[in-house]
Formats: sequence, structure tokens, C-alpha cells
Amino acid sequence: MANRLPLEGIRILDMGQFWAAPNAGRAWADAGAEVIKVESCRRPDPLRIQARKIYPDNDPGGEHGDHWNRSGMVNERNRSKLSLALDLSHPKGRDLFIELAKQSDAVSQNYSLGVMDRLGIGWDVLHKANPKLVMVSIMSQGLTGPESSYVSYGQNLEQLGGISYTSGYPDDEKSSVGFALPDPIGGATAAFALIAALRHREETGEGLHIDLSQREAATLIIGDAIVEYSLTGQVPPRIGNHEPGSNPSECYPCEGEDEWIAISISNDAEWLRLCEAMERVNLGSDNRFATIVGRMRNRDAVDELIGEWTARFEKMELFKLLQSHHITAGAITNPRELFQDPHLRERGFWEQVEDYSCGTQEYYGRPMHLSENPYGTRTPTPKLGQHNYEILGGLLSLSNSEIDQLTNEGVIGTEPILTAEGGMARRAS
Amino acid sequence: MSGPLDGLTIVEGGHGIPAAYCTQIMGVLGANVIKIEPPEGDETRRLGPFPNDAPDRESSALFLYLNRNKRSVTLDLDTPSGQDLFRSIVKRADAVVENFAPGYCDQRNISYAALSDEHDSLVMSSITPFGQNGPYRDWHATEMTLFAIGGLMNIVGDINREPLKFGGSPALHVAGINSFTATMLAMHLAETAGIGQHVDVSVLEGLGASHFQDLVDYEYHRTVIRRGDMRTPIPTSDGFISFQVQAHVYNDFRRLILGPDAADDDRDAASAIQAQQSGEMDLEILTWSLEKTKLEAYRLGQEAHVPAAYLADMSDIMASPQLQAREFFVEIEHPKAGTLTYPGFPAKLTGSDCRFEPAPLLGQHTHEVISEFTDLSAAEIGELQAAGVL
Repeated sequence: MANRLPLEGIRILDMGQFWAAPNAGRAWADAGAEVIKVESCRRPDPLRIQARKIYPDNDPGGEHGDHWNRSGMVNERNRSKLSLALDLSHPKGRDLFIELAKQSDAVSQNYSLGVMDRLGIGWDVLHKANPKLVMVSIMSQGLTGPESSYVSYGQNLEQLGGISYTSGYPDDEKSSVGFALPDPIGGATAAFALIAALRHREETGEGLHIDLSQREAATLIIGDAIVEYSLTGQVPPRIGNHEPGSNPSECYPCEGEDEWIAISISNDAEWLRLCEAMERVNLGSDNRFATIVGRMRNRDAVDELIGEWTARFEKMELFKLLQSHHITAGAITNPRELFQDPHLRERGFWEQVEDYSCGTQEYYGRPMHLSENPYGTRTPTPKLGQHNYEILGGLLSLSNSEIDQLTNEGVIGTEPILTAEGGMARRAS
Repeated sequence: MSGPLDGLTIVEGGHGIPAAYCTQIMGVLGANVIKIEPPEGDETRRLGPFPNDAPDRESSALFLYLNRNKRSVTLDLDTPSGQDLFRSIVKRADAVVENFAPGYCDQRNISYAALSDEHDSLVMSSITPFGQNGPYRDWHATEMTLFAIGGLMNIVGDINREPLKFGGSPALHVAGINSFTATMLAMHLAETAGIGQHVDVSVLEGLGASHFQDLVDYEYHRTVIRRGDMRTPIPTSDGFISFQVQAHVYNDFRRLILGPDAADDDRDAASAIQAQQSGEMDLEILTWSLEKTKLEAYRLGQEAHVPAAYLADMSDIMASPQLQAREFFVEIEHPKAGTLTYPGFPAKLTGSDCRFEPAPLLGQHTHEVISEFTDLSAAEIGELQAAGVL
């Protein structure tokens, strides 16, 4: 029997842009849904042309000059989808979108508050057109509330959601991580919320709208800190690399420049094993360090001892050595090492993709694996508007000449329309 | 109203965060979750801080948060009788979500192979640090070491200091979310096609799939990105704020700081922003920010269309007018820990309810669940309890 994919037969219109929302779309697409990435030439996914530009060999043009199809940040997270470049601000574009929504199971969008309504494709309109439709709105702060119109990137939400406060050097209150963890969290949250909602629709026969707040999704990841604050009345302190219950627990320098290993010792027996690995068995009976309390009180001395030892080793060798002694450790790994990692290689985590305009590239795969119905990247990230004819002809039964006409009118297309400054036709909304 | 996961029965096994977080969300959305704990309880019950610094296995904030909406059954899985009861419960469940160490279930005859023998369409979702195979399978890991190996510590922190992990345990929570998605997809195949399967969820791979740009930077042009100078937030009268100034809002940002009459910068936006980031406007920004509270500065920034944020601690989060307006927080009364404030659910689904019941006491539902899921008599259950199996 051919491998049946879990979301086979589900069609999703994915208007997601940037990071979080397209990631969710890819989760559904890999799992077998027909996911149509809906962009427009006037407003393509901003990562196609804006922000950090990452092109193969730093060359935007390539053979065909279509730099918008060569952006690494788009190609990494829009695999397995189809692309329709449809101008939603054009009345015909809007009408075609509604026709597509009638034939779809779900719509995913992360525009700013009010954009969908202004385009005439808000929840009320779509729900009326297709009462069984599920829509997920992946908002910065949700669809309601006094700050719902505020615009945020992942780093803003990291601060508003409390992740930044808990993350930083304990001795420097100003230090603040800036990574944008709420993006992958928001995408993963949207991915499961829509799948749950599709089940609900099967049970009730009713479509539903998911109003998702990425700020809240970020706080949920550290939700125990909220309960802790409620329980103790104390704001939980920032603890850097210290893991509760582990002593020591820190990053230690290794041979070379900016090379490190993380070590986390959770009990006295593990400490003894570390002393053995360090060939310093006498330390195991040293009263200053033999107990958890001793290692807590003499943390600086412990860290110095370990750091002097780790600095003599190449980090990957040390990683293996420590693990062979059953000691919890991990080398701080850079992207080159991550791509080479023997474990991830053996697990087949990296997926090789023949990109349409970028040649052969490798991207991260899925962190979950189904034993009987495995799934992953099915097709490369589509070029802008690559499936205009297939979608409008196939789903809406438009003739080639009708689609040609739409192309001539600029309702659909395959190339971004840029302003004189090279920016986008419309301001990011 | 009802929840999307109404009618699904999920059995949870293991210790700590990933499986518990996954099934906690499932419970919020309506699933019937049965948590199997060893007689001494899930290890998170031991993690403080506790009220008045008095350790109490019913009052761990982490446990209370991770285990809402569940029933607790204590089972000694090191005994054949305990293993047999586990299999009996699973036989009538839709899925098992567990994060035992690899090999643990095989040794106890409760592996996927053993369980699915008696239940064709069973879904078993196993969350482990490194996954079910590969050279690191049995290696030891914590949140921090996984952040290290997963390549995220390489880019978090200050280049002049040691790399940093994130606070809390986001890697383990994200693994729980990934397990939710995969388990739901697998249960969909079970419900519609009768296919059961084993789902292998790797915490490390969840991190590998959470990179923003450094992986493509390497793949596309062999550039290895490292940590930078940590971006320092801007002080206000009562805390810190920050702005994400992009090209299209740069002149809005200038007018926010310099006043409404400030002329547009005539440089191109990219170099103007670069100059601003290297300190060109620092004095003006400080003059502006130090007179304001962090909330005022945040609002003024946002009203000027500049993405702004304040560094929120837990008290700020609970006081947030936005989160309160959305009724994000819920009060839950627990028989031992009392009434506490919890985060609710980050999404509102029209026509659907979220459920927020307190975490169970250790073994609170053992008798109830064993009676419901097996044909054992009250006397037999009492015998098992006397023997320490339950």
C-alpha cells in the first residue's frame, strides 16, 4: 500500500510570511496537506526580497536573475508547498481568493490586525463563503485587547513574553538574549492548534477561527514561572546556565578560540565520574566538592578546576570522552559541525533538496518521525507564482486565456513589483 | 461547548517536562489524560521553590503547571503486576505519550511492539533527547547540553563571555509541542484508517529545526555565524525597553526620539540604521527614555509604528493590560497548593472551550482508573495496593 500521509486531502491557503507562520505551513505541507502559499507580486513574502539577504554563494542573480526565488530564508521554510502570486488588493484577486477558500479546508495568516478585513477577506467573509472553513490567525498579541494592533518581531515578543527576562547573565541585569524564540514556538503552536481544530470540525461540522497570540505562546513555554510567582510572590531570579538541581552546571572553555563545552552534573555519583574522567580521583573525596552543598558553596572554585581541565581538549573529543564516562555534556556546536554531526546524519535529519533556482541544498528536516507513515519534504519551495496556472486552472477551472488575461492585468504574476528604492510596493503592514 | 480533543484517551508515562507538557495541552483541549506515576511520584514533584520553603510533593509550581487536567495513577512499572496493569490501561486508550529513557519500555515489556500486539491502532509517541536510534541515543542530556549540541548556544550570549542557554526549559517544552502535532497526525490515521504507529520525537531535532538564519548562512555561502555583542536594552525610569528599527520605520523612529519636526534622514535607510545601532543617537535616545516608564516608552514607540517591547518579568506579565484584557490568566484552586494564577491557553477557538482543572494529588485516581479500565474487583485492587504495586 502506498504511504498515506496524515493530512492527505486537506487543502490550506497559507498567507504566512516571515518565519513563524510559514514554518507552520510547512508542517502541514510535509504531512501531506496541499498547502498553497498565497503571496502577491506587490507583496511577496518579505524574506524573498527584504531583511537579511542569503543567496547561494552570495550571488543574488544566479542563472536566471530571479533573486526572489534564491532567498535561503524562504527556501528553508516553504518546502512542500505550491505558490500562487495573487494580488489581493485587486478586486479580481480578492474574488478569486474567496473562490479558493470555498474549496479549501483552512486559511492561515499572520498579517497585522485589520489587514485581512481591509482586503475584504476577513473571517466573517470567509466563514460565510465556506462555513466549514478553519482559519488560524497567527497574531503578535491576538485579535483582541488594547495592544492587539501593535507590530512586533520575534525579539519583541521574547521580551514581552518573559523569555528574555529569564535568560541572561545573572550578574548583568542589562544582558538580554535576542534570538526570537517566539517565532519557532509560535509556528509550532499554530501547527498543532490547526490540526486540533480540524479534528473539532470533523466532530461538529462547523468551521472555526483560531485567534492565536504569539506573545502568549511564548509565555506558555515558561508558564511554570508564572505559577511560581503566584505561589511565592517572588519574581524567579535569573540563573544563567545553572540548571536547577545540577552542580556544577556551566559552559567551560575548550581548546581553540571561542570553543566551549556544557557540563551539567546532577548528583554526587556523577561528580565522582567527572573526577575520574579528569584523572583527579582525589577530588572526589575533597570535602569542599564531594556534596551538592559543597559544590554550590564553592562554585567558583569548581568552575575554575573544570575550566582548566577542559581547556586542554578539543571540544568534540571531550564531548565523546565525557559521555563515555556517563557524564552529561554537550559541545557548543556551530552550523558547520551541526551539519556534520554523525548522530543527526545517521538519523537522516538533514534533507537534501533540489531547489528550483538554487541547486542542491540541505535543510533541517522534521523532529518527529512516524514509523508507518513517515513524512518530510515532498517538493522544494516553489518559485513565486510557480503554480498560478495549475491552481487557477485546476481548482477554479479558468481557461488558459482567462489566466493570461489575469496576468496581463497584473492580478497574478511571477515577479515582484518593487519600488524605485528596491523596497516593496506597500509598506509592511 | 466542547473541546477539539473530546473523546480521546491519552496515557502519559515518564518524568519531567516533554510528555507532561504535551498531554497537559491535550487535556486543556478536552482529552482524557491518565498520568502514570511511580509510587514516589514524578520527579518534578520534588522541584521547588515551595511555599514557606517547605518541600511538599503537591505544591511544586512546575508540577502543578505541567499536570493540569490529568488523573494520577501510581504504578510500579518495575513489577510484572504493574506492567500488566499498564498494558490493560493502554489497551483502552488512543495513545501513549512517554519520555522514558530509550530502552526502558523494552525492558518492561511495555514497548510499542508489546503494546501494539494487543491494540492494532495504538499510537505511541516517545520523546527522548536524541531519538530512538543513532550513536547518541543513550547519551546523557539536559536542557543546557541539548541547547549546546543543537547549535543554539553558539549564537546566544555575548561573544566576550561564555555562551548562554535560555531561561526555563524551552527545548523540552517545544519537544512536547512537536509531540502533540505528531501524535494528533498519527491518531488521525488511527481514527480514519485504523493504522497505529510509533512516533519518535527528538528534543535535539526540535532545536535543529528552530534556527532562524545561521543554518542557511552556512549552507548557502559557508559563513559560520557566532554570538555578537549582546544588544543592550535601553534603560527607562523603571526598567528596560528595546526597539526593532527596520528601514521602513526608520524616520518614524527619528521623529519619535527627536520630535515631530525632525526632518527625514537623507542617507539610505540601511546605513542610517547601522549608524544608529553603533550609537549615533544614543544620547538622544537616553534623554527620551529616562523620563518615561517602560510601559509609556513601549506605548509611544508602538503608537509611532516602531516595533517596541519592554523587558517583562513575571510581575509585569501578570499586570499586563493586554494579557488581562484577553483573560489569558486563569485561577485554579488546588486542594493542597491553594488558589493560584496560571497561564491559560495562547489561542481562542470559536465554538470551543478550554478546560482548566487542577493537577492531581499523587495517586489520587488510582482506584478510580483501575476500576474503570480493568475488570479487577475492589478487593483485588486493595491487594495490589497492599503489595505496593499501586
